[in-house]
Amino acid sequence: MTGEHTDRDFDPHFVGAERLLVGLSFNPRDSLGPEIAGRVRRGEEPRGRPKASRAAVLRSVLGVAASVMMMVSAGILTWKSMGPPVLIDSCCQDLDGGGTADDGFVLEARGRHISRLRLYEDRDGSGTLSSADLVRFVRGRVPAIAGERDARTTRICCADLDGEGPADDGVLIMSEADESVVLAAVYEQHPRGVAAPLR
Amino acid sequence: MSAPPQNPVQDNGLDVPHVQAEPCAAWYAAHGRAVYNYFRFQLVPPDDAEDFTAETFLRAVRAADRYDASRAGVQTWLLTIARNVLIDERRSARVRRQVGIDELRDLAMDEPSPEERMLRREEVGAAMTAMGGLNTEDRELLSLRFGGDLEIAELAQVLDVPPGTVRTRLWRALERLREQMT
Repeated sequence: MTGEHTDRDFDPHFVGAERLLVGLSFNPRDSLGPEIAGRVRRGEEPRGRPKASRAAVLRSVLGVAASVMMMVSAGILTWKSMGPPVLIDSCCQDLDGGGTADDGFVLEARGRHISRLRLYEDRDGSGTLSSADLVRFVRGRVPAIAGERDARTTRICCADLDGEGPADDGVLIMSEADESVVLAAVYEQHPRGVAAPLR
Repeated sequence: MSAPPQNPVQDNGLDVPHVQAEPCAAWYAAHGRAVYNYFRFQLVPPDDAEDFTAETFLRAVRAADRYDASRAGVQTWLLTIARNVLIDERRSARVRRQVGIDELRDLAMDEPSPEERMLRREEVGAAMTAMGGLNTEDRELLSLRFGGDLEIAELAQVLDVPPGTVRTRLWRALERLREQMT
């Protein structure tokens, strides 16, 4: 059949099958129409879509509950495996290359997973981050570089920054001549020749 | 279906949107046979086909205010409902998958002699058996086309595919039916 054929003009190849279907008809019983009209008149509702059996509903509920429990358990395990919470406020060193040991950093992490790292200049001399201090740099979970002109690298090592016990963690700072910080990251000391991924 | 029309809509001379028994009776008079035949072509036995036809019209009355005559004719709309009825009934296993060849008591026949009527019955029985050998999509298409008596454009509306696609599928379905019958 092609677009040139009309609705009732099929390929002769199909004449037999098509003619049989065209001529095929079934008669509902005569009383069906009045019966339906009567049911409508009485306000009868259609059956509608089949309702799920109680067993099927129960199976669905149990399935969902099991899935939720598995997800919660997995979440708890994942959270626990991330390690202990860490909040370190370390002051005071020269982190920005300005020549004065008046800088500090605040590290918020869970084990090795850093959530926030802030570098500040301890302007009020309190030895901790306070509202009077100048926050020079803030980053989130992933280290990112914020500039690329003549950056100078400063490394402070070593301390236990991830709460795992050994004092094998360091802080790496990249700053520019105007003391603006372009990168701050934590790393774990590796044996010589093995690259330490920045966190 | 879109918002209910403001005024009663004429389709084949019938007032459509009023949820009353009289319009329903008129719908049935005009389209009941097509709906019933759609179910029979889908190999639904006569008793179940009557039940499903009634369910189709009860649902249609219930949904009459959502009918949009600018989008589809009444028969197309009713057969869309009939399709959903069949899907729901099969989901709930209230319908047998195959019709027996001996379940042709409602077959319309003009043949005058008993011999001719017997031959006709055998011929239709073979056709129904061949329909049973088709896949669901082919049987659906042929049932809407020859049982529901829908034209290509109406089939395209019901199946939500372009008319050209309907033609191609119809051609292939008839090819497969012919293969089943030989």
